[in-house]
Amino acid sequence: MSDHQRHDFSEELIDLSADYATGQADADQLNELARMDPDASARAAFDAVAAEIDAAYAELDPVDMPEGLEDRLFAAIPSQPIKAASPELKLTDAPEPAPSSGGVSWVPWFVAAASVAIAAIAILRPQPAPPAQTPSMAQLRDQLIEQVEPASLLRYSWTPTQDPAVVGEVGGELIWDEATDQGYMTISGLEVNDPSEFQYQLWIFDATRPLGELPQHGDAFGGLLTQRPIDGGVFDITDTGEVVIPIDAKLMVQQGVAFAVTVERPGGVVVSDRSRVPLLAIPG
Amino acid sequence: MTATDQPAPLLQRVADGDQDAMRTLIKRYSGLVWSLVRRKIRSQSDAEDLVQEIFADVWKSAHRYDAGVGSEDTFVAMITRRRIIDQIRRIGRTPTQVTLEAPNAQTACSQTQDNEQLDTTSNAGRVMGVLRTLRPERRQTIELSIVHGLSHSQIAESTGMPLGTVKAHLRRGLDEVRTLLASQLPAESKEVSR
Repeated sequence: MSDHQRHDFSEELIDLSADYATGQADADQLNELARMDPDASARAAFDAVAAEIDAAYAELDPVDMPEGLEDRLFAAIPSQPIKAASPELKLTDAPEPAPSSGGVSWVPWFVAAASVAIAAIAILRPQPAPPAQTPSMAQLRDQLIEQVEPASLLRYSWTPTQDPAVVGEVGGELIWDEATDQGYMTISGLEVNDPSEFQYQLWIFDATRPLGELPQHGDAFGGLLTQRPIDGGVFDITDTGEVVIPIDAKLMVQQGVAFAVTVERPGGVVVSDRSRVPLLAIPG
Repeated sequence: MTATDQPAPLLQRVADGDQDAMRTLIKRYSGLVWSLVRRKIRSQSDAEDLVQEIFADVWKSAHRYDAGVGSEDTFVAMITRRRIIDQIRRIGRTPTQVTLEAPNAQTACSQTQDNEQLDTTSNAGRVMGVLRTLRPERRQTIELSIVHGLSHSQIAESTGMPLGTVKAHLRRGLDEVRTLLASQLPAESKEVSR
């Protein structure tokens, strides 16, 4: 091995990158990494090594897949061409570095793999003001409404509950395009949240998913709310007036038939106990 | 078959929206993704949902795949591991059931140590070959962290090593593996390690 390879990264950067690759880096370390590794090359290199090791063990000692999972994966294949992950997340405010001369880089793969983590880093870093030409969420919502086939666009008004997060007259609607798995929420009348205390989370109820996993919700809406819904993304309310929020479905939605906004701890949850559901969007 | 007759890489066809390629991708990699997820996520239903999210991410990110950088397995595994780490952060880390009789308890790596049939040209064989050259405690620490998803403190508790020693073994061990794997690549590909 060459001396160049051995001393690619400083000791401190190796320590931080190893912690990052094993999921052990805390917020301060992530900030420090963003500063020390602006092109993400160290994080990408250690992420790749961890992936190679993990995949090697999985190959030698595989875990049996549960029955039916492969069929569910097949069923989730989208009928439309897949949108690239967007928006493209930048690691720094600087332009993306050119590939190293004569070689290849793990960095694009790292960007593909780490969009969530990069987003977390980005939250911790000062954000530049958006360019003046950036369309607003309301414009993007309107574009979607104009572009999609009306037949594939679901439009539901909000049904508020007695939850204390409902602080005014609730207005707005939820739109969801079944063909492209895109949608927006327009909301007014919800409490402005402090993201360090709680956040809102959207859940999408898909008629094709099995019922009966959360029986505490009984037979309401034909038993639909007993199912395990799809995470539609965590969001904040910044104004009790009208705000527009994009829906970020974590799974392909086959047949979205109801939507619920819950109040959750910062960062959201994997399974909501649905103890606080300020808004529902359900067929009228 | 000439070079121009070679089928496009699977992930490139996925990026182009080829549904048959997506089915092939699932058939080829669902076992790998499931094995990676299930070792670290205790709830089966959480694990199943996560696998679906991971494939959605792979489909969306497939356009970033470059066969010149590395294998499709590694690309899929990188995306999978990032999603697992994110999920563990969200649900809170729960200890994996790993029983260690002693600090040098036999690991999957050491179990394969005597297997002369292991194909050293395969990815797994190449990686295991490198891991076997590490000091046993470094190899063990890497396995507990990366394969079983244990935190530093959980590894310290399981093995009886001081926390600082666990961190040092893990960091130095990973860097050693990175360097050794890079040294096995053709000269023109060594930038891959950076």
